[in-house]
Amino acid sequence: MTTAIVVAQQFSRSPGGRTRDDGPYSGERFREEFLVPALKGTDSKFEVDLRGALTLGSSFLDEAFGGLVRVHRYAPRDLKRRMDVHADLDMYVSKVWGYVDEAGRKEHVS
Amino acid sequence: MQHLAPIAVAVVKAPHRLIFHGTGDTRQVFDAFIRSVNRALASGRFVRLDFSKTARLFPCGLLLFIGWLDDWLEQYPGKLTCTYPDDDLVEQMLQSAGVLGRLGLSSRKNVTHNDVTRWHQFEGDRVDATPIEPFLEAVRAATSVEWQLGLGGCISEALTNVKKHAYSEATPGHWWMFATVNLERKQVFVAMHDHGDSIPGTLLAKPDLFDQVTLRKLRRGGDCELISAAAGGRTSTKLYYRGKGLPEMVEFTSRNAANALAIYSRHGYFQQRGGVDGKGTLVDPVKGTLVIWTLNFEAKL
Repeated sequence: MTTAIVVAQQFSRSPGGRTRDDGPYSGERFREEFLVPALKGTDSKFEVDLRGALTLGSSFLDEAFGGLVRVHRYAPRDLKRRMDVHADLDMYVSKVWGYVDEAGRKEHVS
Repeated sequence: MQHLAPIAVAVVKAPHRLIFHGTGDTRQVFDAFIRSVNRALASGRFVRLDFSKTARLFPCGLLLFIGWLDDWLEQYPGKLTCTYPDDDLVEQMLQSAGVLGRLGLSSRKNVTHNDVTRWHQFEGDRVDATPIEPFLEAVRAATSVEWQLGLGGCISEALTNVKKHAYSEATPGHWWMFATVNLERKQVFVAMHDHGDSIPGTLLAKPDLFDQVTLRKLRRGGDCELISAAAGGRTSTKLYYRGKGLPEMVEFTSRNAANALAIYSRHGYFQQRGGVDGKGTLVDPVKGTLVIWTLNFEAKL
């Protein structure tokens, strides 16, 4: 069975901010408390479900997903193999992978 | 028997219309009101704000006023009082917005008027949009997921901007917000205000962001040129130093000619209306930043 992280239910309907000192539902906190444990716990694929969230700001998405590359040195291609991202609109899935790819280019992690 | 000197009370009349966003004349009336209170408090006098003749409150004026009021109450505790307004709607609004309570007056009204109840009022020190959820739910119900997520993302980024750029790390990044969905006009209105370092102030504090030619050009253009640059105005030098919040707001606004955005900060303002950018200079500086945003949701994104 695939593990699913449902942001609106397990984290917040209103995620926002980049780092922990910005606020309680920051991208940094989501990355460290949900994404990294899921990536470390098993080698199997898991889902990140952004549906139902009301605020998906660039800072939150970039810090949460781009931060996996910048801070934790995950390769974008490994993340694409491991994570399935769902959102109410496809453009937010594209944004997530855009931040991952951008971080990969800047950090020279492929 | 010792005679006590009478306590000097300055009665300052609040404007007939408490409004800021508009023409230079409009702002002049608002600024004169704020100046009078500042002067009286600085000279050690007690101040009674007289709302008896105030007939209309606009979110831009009320938001700026609440920002000032919170500063005055902190700086001059016990020095400010006010009178109840004669106008029923104005009293409901001042009561609902917490102004009367802040000034020690009890709540006398049942807040029932639609022009009051349709407004969502928020304030906070952090990037936490949880209190805004009822407003965002209302937006989603009235518009679409696409529309609501675009707006929600911009607001979240604007709050991040305030926290990351407007205040120093040691200072809580306080912000105030009014928002409403007007189903009849098919409009969403958002007004946000903070008392942090202004946009021009934070931009000039980081001169390494630009080369000398650009810096000279921006300085020559004044605060409005700096705000326009931070917002990514079409005719400006593009600088994304202040996060993505302002450029994303401008981009979202520009999707429909009926939308309008105005950003006031320190001595300048930038606005976009009908797809056209404008900028100008303010006589009296705005403390921090004020953003006024009107979006028309009848049009397709």
